[in-house]
Amino acid sequence: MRKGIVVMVLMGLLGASGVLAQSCLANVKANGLKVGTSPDYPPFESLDKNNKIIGFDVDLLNLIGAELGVKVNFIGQSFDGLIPALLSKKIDLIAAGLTITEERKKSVDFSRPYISGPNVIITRKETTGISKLEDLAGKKVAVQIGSAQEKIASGVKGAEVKSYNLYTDAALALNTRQADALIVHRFVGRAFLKQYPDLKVVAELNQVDTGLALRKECSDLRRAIDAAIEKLEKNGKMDELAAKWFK
Amino acid sequence: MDFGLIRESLPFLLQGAWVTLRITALSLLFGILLGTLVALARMSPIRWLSGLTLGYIELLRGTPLLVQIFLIFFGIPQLTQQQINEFVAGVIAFSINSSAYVAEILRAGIQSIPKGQREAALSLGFSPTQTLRYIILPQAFTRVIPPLVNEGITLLKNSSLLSAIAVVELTRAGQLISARTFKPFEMYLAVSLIYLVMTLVLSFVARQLERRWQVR
Repeated sequence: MRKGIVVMVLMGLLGASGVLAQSCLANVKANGLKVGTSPDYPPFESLDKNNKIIGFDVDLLNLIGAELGVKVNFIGQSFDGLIPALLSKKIDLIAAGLTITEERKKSVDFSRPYISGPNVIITRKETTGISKLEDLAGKKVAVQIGSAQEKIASGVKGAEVKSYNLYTDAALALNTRQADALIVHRFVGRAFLKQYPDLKVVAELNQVDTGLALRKECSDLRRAIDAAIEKLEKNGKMDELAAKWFK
Repeated sequence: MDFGLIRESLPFLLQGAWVTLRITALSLLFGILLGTLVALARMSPIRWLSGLTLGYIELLRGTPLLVQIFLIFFGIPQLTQQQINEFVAGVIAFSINSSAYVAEILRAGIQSIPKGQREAALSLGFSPTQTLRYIILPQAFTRVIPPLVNEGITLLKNSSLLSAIAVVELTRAGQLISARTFKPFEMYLAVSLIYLVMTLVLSFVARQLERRWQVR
């Protein structure tokens, strides 16, 4: 009996070390690439009429998947739970229009940036007196919980930051006068403007880079993905995607 | 486990807990006031009035609280073009929702008082209103303390739903920190312990009240 337990423990240890030794890239090739995203961030990702996740990130990951020869599965979940899900290995990669920040770099690795663009401040058309970040003092600023934009808003002295679960809720709050301003990536702001004609962009903020996030131990997978992104940039596929989604 | 993080974020969590307590206390207060009226209307001999309140109760019990919160928070501004503070929206949603449950609790309490007492009071010359005010309601309220406390505990826990409209109550405070630090386990553990302390205190106070007001 006791011998049996020892054997089982040994086998368990061997099995565990086997998993550890296995590279992330090999694991993904065997089991498919599990991509976590939060489909409330058009045009990076959103749900279509059939509740299918679509967007720039989806097309990009499918192209990368084709380059690497792996099957890509998208898993939609709440934005603020994405990094914890990555760290606890529920997903292999985050593709969520994620801004590359120093703070996030402490926990995860980022791929080569695939988009650059500024954040913008959006208000309702009737609003006056907001033309730069400092003007947000004393105003309600809607953002998404855990977003890089939340961090920007928190840095404005006197601004009342309202963090919503979904970016679409933040936009709705602005449109229904529950907030005075919204800070969001330019491309997403454009998508919201199409949806809510009473909103306008009042200021462009600093340029930020967007990347895919991976676990730090998965450097082999990251290198393979970086190479795929570089190839897509060179052969013009990336520009085609940008033209399709960010026009 | 990062206990340092818990210690570091405790002041912020306690601020959130204070918001949770205020929302719960206000909503329970308004819920009991409104619920008493609803209970009386529900038992009214006037047919349309009791029918109307039955509809009110079924509507509130039959739809999810989170949906009611969204209806008030996003709906009222759309209809009235007026901003509504998310704290106020939360208290309104919870008070209305709670009034339905309190009404049914109270109705049960009132109906548990033997009919003979009402008849005796009336024959002693009490008016129907006096009978209700001095004889029936005091006894009914004492009897329904346990289910009312239950409702209070439910409200306290449900106030976490207000995180969805960006009220920084206890759950939201924990979410904000875990979204920044990517350490959800530590945060939600701390958050649940704080909730537990609050509900245990509430149960304790209720037991004391029950003992003091026991029908002797």
